[in-house]
Amino acid sequence: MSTTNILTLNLGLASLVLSFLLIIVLIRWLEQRKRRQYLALETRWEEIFFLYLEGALEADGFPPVKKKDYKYWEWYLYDYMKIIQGEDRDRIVRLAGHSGLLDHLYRQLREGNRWKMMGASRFLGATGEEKAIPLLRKNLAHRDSLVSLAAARGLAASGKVDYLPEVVEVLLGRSLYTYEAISEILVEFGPEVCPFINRLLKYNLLVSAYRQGGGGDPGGVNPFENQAYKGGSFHLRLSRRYPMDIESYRVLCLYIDILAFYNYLPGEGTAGAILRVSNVEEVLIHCLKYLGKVASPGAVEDILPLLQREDWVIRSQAARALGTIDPGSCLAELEGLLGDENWWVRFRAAEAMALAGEPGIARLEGLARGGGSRESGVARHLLESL
Amino acid sequence: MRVLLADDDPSVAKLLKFKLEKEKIETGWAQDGDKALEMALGEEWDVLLLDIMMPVNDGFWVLRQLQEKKPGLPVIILSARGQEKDVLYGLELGAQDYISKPFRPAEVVARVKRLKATGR
Repeated sequence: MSTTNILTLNLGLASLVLSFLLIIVLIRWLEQRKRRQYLALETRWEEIFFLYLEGALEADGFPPVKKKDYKYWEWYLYDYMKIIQGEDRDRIVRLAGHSGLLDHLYRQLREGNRWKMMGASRFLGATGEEKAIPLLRKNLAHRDSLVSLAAARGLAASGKVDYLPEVVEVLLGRSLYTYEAISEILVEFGPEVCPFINRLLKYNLLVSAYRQGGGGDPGGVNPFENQAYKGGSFHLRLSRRYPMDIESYRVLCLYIDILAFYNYLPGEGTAGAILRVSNVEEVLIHCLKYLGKVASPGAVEDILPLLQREDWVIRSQAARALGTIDPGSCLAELEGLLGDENWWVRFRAAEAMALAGEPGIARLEGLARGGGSRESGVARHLLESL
Repeated sequence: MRVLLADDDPSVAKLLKFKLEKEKIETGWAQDGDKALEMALGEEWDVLLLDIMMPVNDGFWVLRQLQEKKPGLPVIILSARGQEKDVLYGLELGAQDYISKPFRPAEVVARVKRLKATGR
């Protein structure tokens, strides 16, 4: 390679690095400028905004917000909307409407580019405005996954639980999202989603039981007694893609995890029934984790048979759940697992026995004094860790 | 009356500061668990409004420290975790009251005043 070529190559590389640095500096400068603009506006709005929340002035007394500042205005109001509820929150939505922000966002949701649609979904969803719902539902099916995801988040933030199945259907239909990401979105529906999920699961348990020819009511409660279930549209909607019988395991696991997140105790009977009818290991594990988390007192009978399952994960999770529920009532069964072939099963059983307090610890101490068996090994290990 | 606000969200702090000061209640603000403990121990406060999810050390850590070092300070937990077990855990650690986010600002002020007046 000639000297001229080397020089040209070096110059080329140097200008590339320089351009790269210039771009970084420019982005940083723009960000700082944006931040300064926001802080200046925030200071201007703050005092008047709090007076408005107090009721000391009405929306028409609030200084007009320029269209170019709508982006900052949206950020500002959103920060307060997410922490306030009740009348104060309603006042924020009224102020957003009066300032023209809501109309602006509705336009963006209909006609904006990807980023504008996403921002508008977040805000309009959080307002819970009825007018926003059809637009969000439309965007849920948008070909752009990010717009669809933002619409799902918007619907969840609206807290309108009737749309949960629709959101689940779309999110599960797109392979882009992880299980955790979907759970995170569904949790945004709020704790009110739990009674809805519980009714939905009971309904599906019953449908499943009828399909299998049992005709019984494994959930313990006949959901058809509830008027809301007669021709329940959510069921039909779910049926389009997900039949939602009890073995639609991904949906089921998601729903159980939401009940667990909110420590929703009234779902214990439903989860117990699922333990009895389901053969899907994943479903059983999620139910066990949920029942253990809510420390469901009525679940012991449903969990005990799972200590004998072939899958060691189920045996260990069953032991773990019993440990948080009522280990004192099943010490003999737990002790029976101390000789299990799997180390985790032995450990979880010993851990559960220790959680029973004095009687469990005394049994472990007795076993620990024994020879080199599995039982004595795990008992010693557990006692040392206490 | 003096209230210490321990919350990393400036919107929460600014709003409650405004609401409390309207009621002639003096306020202080700590943005993380360490600062909250330092301010709680270093000055006299009538009530501590304490967030759970805070940087550095969380609200439960602050409560545990206060149990040892300043057990008489009345605490109201103010947290997005509106979950039963967190409520119970917070109350077990010595908090007198628990308010979930999102909250009603007027309710927070009323509970602060009641706690100061009745001690519960």
